[in-house]
Amino acid sequence: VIAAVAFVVVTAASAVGLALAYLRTVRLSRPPIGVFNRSDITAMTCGIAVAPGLYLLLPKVLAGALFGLTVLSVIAFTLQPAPPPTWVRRAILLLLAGLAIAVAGAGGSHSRAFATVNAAVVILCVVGITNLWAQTGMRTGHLLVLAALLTVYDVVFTALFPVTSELLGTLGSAPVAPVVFWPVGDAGLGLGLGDLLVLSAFVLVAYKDYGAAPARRAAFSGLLVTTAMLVGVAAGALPSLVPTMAGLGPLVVASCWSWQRRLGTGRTVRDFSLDLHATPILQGGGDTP
Amino acid sequence: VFDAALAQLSLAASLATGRRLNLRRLEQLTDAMCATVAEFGAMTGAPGGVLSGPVLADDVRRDVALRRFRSQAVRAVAGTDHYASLFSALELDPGRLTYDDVARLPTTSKTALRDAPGRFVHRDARPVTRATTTGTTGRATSVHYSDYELRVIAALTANHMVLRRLIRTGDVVALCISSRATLALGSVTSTCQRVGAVASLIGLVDPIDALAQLARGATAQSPTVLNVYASYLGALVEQGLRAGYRPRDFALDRILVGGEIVTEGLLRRARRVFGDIEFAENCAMTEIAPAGGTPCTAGHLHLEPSTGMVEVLRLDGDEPALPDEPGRLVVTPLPPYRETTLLLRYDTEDVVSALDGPLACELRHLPATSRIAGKRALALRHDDGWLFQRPVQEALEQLDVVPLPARYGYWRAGSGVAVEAYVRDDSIATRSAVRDSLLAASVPVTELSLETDPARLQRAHAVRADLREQSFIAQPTQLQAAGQA
Repeated sequence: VIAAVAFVVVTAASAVGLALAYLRTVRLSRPPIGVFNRSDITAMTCGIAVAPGLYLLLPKVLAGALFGLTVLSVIAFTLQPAPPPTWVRRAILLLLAGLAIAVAGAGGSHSRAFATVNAAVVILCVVGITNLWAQTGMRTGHLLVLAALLTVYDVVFTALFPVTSELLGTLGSAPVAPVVFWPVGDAGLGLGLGDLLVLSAFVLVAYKDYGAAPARRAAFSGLLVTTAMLVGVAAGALPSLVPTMAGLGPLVVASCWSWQRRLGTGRTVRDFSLDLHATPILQGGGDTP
Repeated sequence: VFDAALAQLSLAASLATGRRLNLRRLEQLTDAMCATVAEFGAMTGAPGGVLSGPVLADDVRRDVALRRFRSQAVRAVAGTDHYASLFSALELDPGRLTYDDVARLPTTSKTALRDAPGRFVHRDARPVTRATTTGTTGRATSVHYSDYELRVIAALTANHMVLRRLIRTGDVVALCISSRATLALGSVTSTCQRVGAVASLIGLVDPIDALAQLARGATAQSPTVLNVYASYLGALVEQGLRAGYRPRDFALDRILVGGEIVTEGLLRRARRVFGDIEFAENCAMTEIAPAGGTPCTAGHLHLEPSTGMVEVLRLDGDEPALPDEPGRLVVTPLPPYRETTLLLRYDTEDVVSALDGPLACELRHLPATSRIAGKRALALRHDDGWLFQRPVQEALEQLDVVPLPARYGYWRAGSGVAVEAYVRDDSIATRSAVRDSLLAASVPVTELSLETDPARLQRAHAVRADLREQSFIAQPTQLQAAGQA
């Protein structure tokens, strides 16, 4: 159980760290016109609300294939600005897909090998998606609204209705699962992709908008809440399927609200990039002005 | 990002189907552009494609243009007296037009529109504005526009201005254009409102008065952008140099100049007064709005194919001009932009040359002609070809001995042309400089008449700077005021 908690927490910390490193060093290609705004929150919330229903309607094989293709396209997008030539990036994608299918076929979706490969795939997705949000201009205010909506969603569809458990049942046996987990006996201890996205976006948006110190606080508090909830589940103090957003959501909402009040709406992507050039952030400790 | 993508899809769908544009989406696109610039400092990739749709192969573009021409022709025949009788006389079915049929269709002359503008107004349209041209080459032409068209033109102008970064948030835009230029005034004012800039109408008042208003500190917010006719810019430069204005007296960052021929000499001399700032040339016309041209750095005039079908026809016939041959610019404003005054193959009477071969400039994805060489009515045939306003004006305005804007006229004389021009002094040196400059510009001058009083010119062309407006108080220039103090 301790190994399971450690694996999930280390994976979550790695996702956050890699996403941050990506934000500092890589610029994703963005559409010529458009900035992240409330319409994106609306579209995302609608997508999040509708997607599970669609996956549940499809046969398991089709749902798994569809999810796998979505994940592959996200990873392709994430790797797109990477220096290796296109054929190398395609080879990496094929290798990942082949590996995921192979380990799922060989040891089943409850094997440690599957959990490890799946964690790597989920990390890449989190890095790409949260960077897309942050680099297209997601601000603290947007994250506040998104986190609030997702908290409601998670509580309703995880704790009150069995949508999340059924979704995990459908996609859990696919070559790629929307969860970072480690097998414990017949079951496993895990953290959902959505929770990881919010945790990672929490740190990235704090970093982009206000600098290193708020980002460090976000990372520390976010990982602390997540770890506490994982420990609670492992110890049996919490139900086996607990909506992580019930703990993470209020933290994100409260922090974003507080930052907005104290520090303003945050930096534009342009100002962030300029500041990044001016003061190398690896060395920085305080808030970027 | 999502709403910007929806707005672009909506625009593309309207262009493909010819259905009315969704004005809210069009305005959303402007907002998205402003937000993009505010967030990222600039737009990436090829944002120009947002307004014109994807870059199409030439044959596909021709097919699309023909389909849209047909749709406008159907509407024109069904709703206007002029085209109903024309198509009936030619026994042409507007819904089945081929390019050969289009070529058979006589061009619509400025005179026809000027004499009976009502014959071109669709009977179901609800015009709310009658816009007129300035009429520098004759009686003003009037064109009716509906509320929808005015809003579309305003939104497209805003998008164009934001895309080219001509008007930015926080700018103060001084407008030195005629108060009768309804479309231009409305569009620029609306653009300012949309992007968070201030529009300041100065008008075509005494240049000394205009300079005082343009100067730094003259008003609460000093103008950062000047939108001006070429000839009036010339008048400002002339008065500015005389009154001792220097670049430090202005906070101008950009000058949007157009409406008339813009010469290199004018821009060079304007930099002495306003500094080494950005000069952007624009080309718009009341009759064919929102179709218009954008000059590129290679000296071409690029015409947006999504707003109008463009042809270049020979000067003395209705056949297409050959590459590099001067011809008349003929434009058909296309749906879904125009629904009130419908014009098919409208002869703008502007002279351009068709270009040969693939282009290598930054706007090569858009069809192009040469820059406007002048008005057809002012074109002159001589033994070696044609003479237009541009070479004469370029030759004159680059000389400091010629006051701005250049006042000149020309006519046939022997095998070449006679040129008259207004100059500061009629010395031998001036005469020699003017003659040399004209010859260097390939103007076959055989007689040269120089006048030191512009009133003595016999055939001088009218310029828009002559549309002078009166004001009650002639303000002292900043420098005069400083001198008195």
